[in-house]
Amino acid sequence: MAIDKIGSILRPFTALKNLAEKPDTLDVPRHYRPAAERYRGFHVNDLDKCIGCGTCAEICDNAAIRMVPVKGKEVGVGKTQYRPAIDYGRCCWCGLCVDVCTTNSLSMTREYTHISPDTDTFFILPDEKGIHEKDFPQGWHADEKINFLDLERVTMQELSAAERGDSFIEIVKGFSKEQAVKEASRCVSCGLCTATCPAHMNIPEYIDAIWKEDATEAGRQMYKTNPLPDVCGRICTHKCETACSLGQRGDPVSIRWLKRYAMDQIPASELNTLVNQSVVKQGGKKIAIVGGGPAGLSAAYYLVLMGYGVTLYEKYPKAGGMMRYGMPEYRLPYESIDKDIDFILSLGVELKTNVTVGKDIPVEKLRDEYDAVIMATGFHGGRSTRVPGTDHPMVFQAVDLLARITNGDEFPVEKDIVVIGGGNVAMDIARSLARMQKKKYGTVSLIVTSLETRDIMPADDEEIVEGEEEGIVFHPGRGPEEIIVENGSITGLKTSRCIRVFNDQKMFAPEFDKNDIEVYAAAQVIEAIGQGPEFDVFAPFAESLEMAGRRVKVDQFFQSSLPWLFIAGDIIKGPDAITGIETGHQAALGVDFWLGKQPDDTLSTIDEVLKIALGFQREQVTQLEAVLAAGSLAPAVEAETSKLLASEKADLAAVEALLAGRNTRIHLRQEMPRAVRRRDFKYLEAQKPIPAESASATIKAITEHASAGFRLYTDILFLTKSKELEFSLDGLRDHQKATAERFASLKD
Amino acid sequence: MSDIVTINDGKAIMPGANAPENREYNMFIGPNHPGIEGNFALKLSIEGDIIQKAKTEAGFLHRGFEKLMEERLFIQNIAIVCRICVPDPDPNEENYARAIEAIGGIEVPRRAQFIRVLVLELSRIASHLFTFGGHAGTIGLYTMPNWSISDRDRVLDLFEELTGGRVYHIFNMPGGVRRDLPDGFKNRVRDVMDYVESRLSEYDDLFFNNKILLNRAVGTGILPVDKAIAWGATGPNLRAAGFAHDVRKDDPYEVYEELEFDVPTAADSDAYSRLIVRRREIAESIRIVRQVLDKIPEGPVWNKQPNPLKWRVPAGDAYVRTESSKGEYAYYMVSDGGVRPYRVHVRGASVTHGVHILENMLAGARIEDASQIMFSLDACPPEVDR
Ligand SMILES: Cc1cc2nc3c(=O)[nH]c(=O)nc-3n(C[C@H](O)[C@H](O)[C@H](O)COP(=O)(O)OP(=O)(O)OC[C@H]3O[C@@H](n4cnc5c(N)ncnc54)[C@H](O)[C@@H]3O)c2cc1C
Ligand code: SF4
Ligand code: SF4
Repeated sequence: MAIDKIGSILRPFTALKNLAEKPDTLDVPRHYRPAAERYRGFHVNDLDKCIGCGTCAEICDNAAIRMVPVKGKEVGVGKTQYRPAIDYGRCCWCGLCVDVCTTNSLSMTREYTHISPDTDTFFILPDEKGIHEKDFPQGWHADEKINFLDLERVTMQELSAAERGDSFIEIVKGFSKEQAVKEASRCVSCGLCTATCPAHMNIPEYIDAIWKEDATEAGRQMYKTNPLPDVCGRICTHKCETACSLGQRGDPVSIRWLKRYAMDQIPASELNTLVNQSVVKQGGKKIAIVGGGPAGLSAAYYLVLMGYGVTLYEKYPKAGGMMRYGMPEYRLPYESIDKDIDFILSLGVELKTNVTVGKDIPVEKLRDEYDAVIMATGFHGGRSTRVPGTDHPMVFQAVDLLARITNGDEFPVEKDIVVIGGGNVAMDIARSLARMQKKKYGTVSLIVTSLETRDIMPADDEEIVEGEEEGIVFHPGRGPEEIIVENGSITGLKTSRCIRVFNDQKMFAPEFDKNDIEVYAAAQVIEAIGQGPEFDVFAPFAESLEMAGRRVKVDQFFQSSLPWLFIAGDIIKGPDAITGIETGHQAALGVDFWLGKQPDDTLSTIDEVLKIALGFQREQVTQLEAVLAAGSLAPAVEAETSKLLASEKADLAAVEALLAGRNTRIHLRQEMPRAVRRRDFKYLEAQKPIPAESASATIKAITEHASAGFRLYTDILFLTKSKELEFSLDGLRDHQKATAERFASLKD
Repeated sequence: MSDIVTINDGKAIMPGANAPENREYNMFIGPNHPGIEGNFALKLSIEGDIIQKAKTEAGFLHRGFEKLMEERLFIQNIAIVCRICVPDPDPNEENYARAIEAIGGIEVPRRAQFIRVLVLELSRIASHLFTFGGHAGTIGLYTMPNWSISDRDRVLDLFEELTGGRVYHIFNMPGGVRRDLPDGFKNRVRDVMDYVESRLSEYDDLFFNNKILLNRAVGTGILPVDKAIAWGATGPNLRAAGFAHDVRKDDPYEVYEELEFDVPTAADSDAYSRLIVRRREIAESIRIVRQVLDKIPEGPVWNKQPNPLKWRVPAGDAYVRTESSKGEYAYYMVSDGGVRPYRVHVRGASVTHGVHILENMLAGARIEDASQIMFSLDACPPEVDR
């Protein structure tokens, strides 16, 4: 060991040998020292790949990321117009945002120097080039092996094909608690699903509640925008899942099954604890709703909670519409429908069944006896292919047979059946009949033909796969030519090959190869090629009711040209249950709005924000007015206070306008990523009551109050009116260019 | 305000100056002073050249980490804990991850354990190199800081390549580490280790055998072994008093048990001994790093943990400790089963060394040795403040 503790004066001089060495040091920024391949330098973001989910902003430990709306960014399924902007005054370059990014669009470069006297230049919206618009090589980026997100969903247990056989027992078994909590834990609470869900359900909120093992809270969140959650947890078309940000790189969260799980935990007897029933009676105003499907039921629920007297007219023996008379039991057991509907009825909705409006009772009578009428009669007319032979008694409409199955009516089930149609309704009738064949004959002999080839069949893939497992044979890409009838009995369906279904304009215009003929033996044919409205009920108003194409013309409140008549459900939008629920909810709000009362008890997330904003804004105005009225202020302070009051009043007016305009609220709910909304919630929740000891303390408190609320207003106002607050991509680009120039000038 | 030097009518008035029978006066070193580590101050009462009493003044860098941690998700804290101690950040990351792993029963893949040891030893080397420079500076030897701090930069280059950051690595995650070794990294680590090793003998010529250092450091700042134990000294400061305590040996974590290394000690417990123990520890760390490179198995480097935004750690508590370059470094963590730690207490070596022991040792020391004694204890003011 060279340490001998014998001190020497001379030994340090051996260091002189280094005099000839080249120094290690560099003069930065004049000289760039290349950083390592994983360097965590400034951010870059592929703005087209980025979906604006805001998960980066959520994980950021320094609140360095603010989601800003970027003009020109397309908003769509699973996409917002927000993009992350980074404050390098706060960022610690941890790269957690990169590791959690749902799309892998965010990464960091190997660029690490930024010098500027202008602090604004430290706030950037990273694009593909980064802070100085330079092409620096990529640094820290996503690593395949280190996945923060849980990309795989929990598999749902289902009955096997053998177990299903001839039974109508529900196929899906549902999550256990452990499975549900695990699945719920995958959600990053971005809220992209909320934007896409037709009813804009509070999905991240109820998923969060499930994760916290609080099914009751989950149910409470669901009822805010959906009074048929048990049903929807089973049969919803789950458009939300196509938007789920986890679907970008893995499986979307099983939103629908989570909803099913939560509702299964809440017994029917406890549903009434989920909603606020302290309603104000609306002066005895009465509303008639025609049609007991999801749209009519949803409208009934919200109206009754608002305090209206509601009567629901239904032509069938039971309410439920297509949920009950269309969807087969193995997908949606009757108990689920009953649970949801019984609860709605228990709130005081009067249900009149076996009444066909327009036949048993004229619509004019409803018009005269009620303050408003909501029409939600659905699609019940099955369409026919109209090929020769369709008038044969052994040719059936899918929707008619499905209703008969529900009613328990007898009808013939032949040994060989052909179903025409490639959508989910065709699957429902085919799979139902397959079960009945199996029961009756012990075997399944059922063919499904569709114009569409397998790859473009509109039915859900799992429906087709499960149908095949159950013994159904598919002949996709075939068009019906003729139903062959011999000696009065059907013997088969003649088909030709369908060359293409849509023309270049994407219009339905099927073309066939008439030389490619196949005949499928069958004694019974079912047509399942679509349903349409039966507009007989509107006949008395044919003159006065304005139409828009094949639909009744309505405004944003679902109000028709006859002010007392509102329209909801399939006949106006859809067709699916959740759209029916949403249109029912909106029509209810429309009725309420028209009858002169602001919506109140049926508020959803953004309404709540606005309500808080309203309260807080009103409070400020009142306080300021009180301070001024006291008259004890110095002239300068008084002038300032008056100015403040004027601007607070303007804000109050803006919030009031927002609350009044339902469209704006929907718009906000759809477009703001969770990260933005939640943050604003936090700001508002953090507000303390304004102390009133002294005028100056009050003013100070109000100003602080205002700055906390400010972010909410900037976001809200941006999306509505104010042009000045626009944070456009071009603006940021200019900003970055200026920064780059200043930076470059530093080097000379 | 009597203990502050004030200026009156252009004349400096020492507190107590008009009381001739009292020859004691007070003075500050720091918080901005080259002889002070970080933002820290010493308030000294002096009589002649001899310090009568010393009081440390901390708090200039208080960031409230323990409280901050309670406000952040488990994942978010990995980005802030390293900042508790700037020169040797990795024991914080290590403790934070290990505390969660202990509470949650989370296993760490073996490869990750080797990588963690690699990181910890590189951090020790970097930290000691930093201290040499600081220590030399306090006695006016200004070539040593240039050398050891630029050599430390080579270690930081390795950190940059492995972790993406030079000073703060933010690399440990509960369940493992954030990335695998880059291609060819092992060879570059070997090169840097060979280089640092070759430099040690040059340091000996320049610094450790330098007559000036010997004159100034030998016999200065003696911390007797009984006092060292009684006052809670750990790490090199305790080992320089001849007591071979080392958490890596006595309560091994990660894969230290499988690695061969000695625990250097010294007998005299003076500033020089403490320096020499650190000098020898670098050689041992190089030994450990080389073994890690030889023995590291293939395999994953992280055990997947739940979605970080919805990550609950089961209720429970854990006390974990790590041998940092400064001494025994521990975290006591309590989880109430939520998404954030309920409480994290940081037991750093620097409060003991840099406040309690330093104050005791300075009494009776010469004024010009104050800085040197402080550096010889290698306390880290940011960690005192945390
Ligand atoms: C076989 C089938 C399967 C489906 N599967 C799904 C699915 O899995 N998921 C999904 O989201 N959607 C599904 N749908 C679509 C969904 O059922 C409808 O979009 C939804 O029910 C529409 O709701 P609605 O309230 O507008 O109409 P409907 O549910 O059709 O309800 C209308 C109601 O009005 C009643 N009515 C009609 N005329 C009168 C009158 N003159 N007087 C009194 N009452 C009248 C009807 O009896 C009916 O009860 C399916 C549809 C069918 C046919
Ligand atoms: S690197 Fe870390 S601190 Fe910086 S924006 Fe991303 S998450 Fe926030
Ligand atoms: S889209 Fe919805 S379900 Fe998917 S991660 Fe975001 S909030 Fe969760």
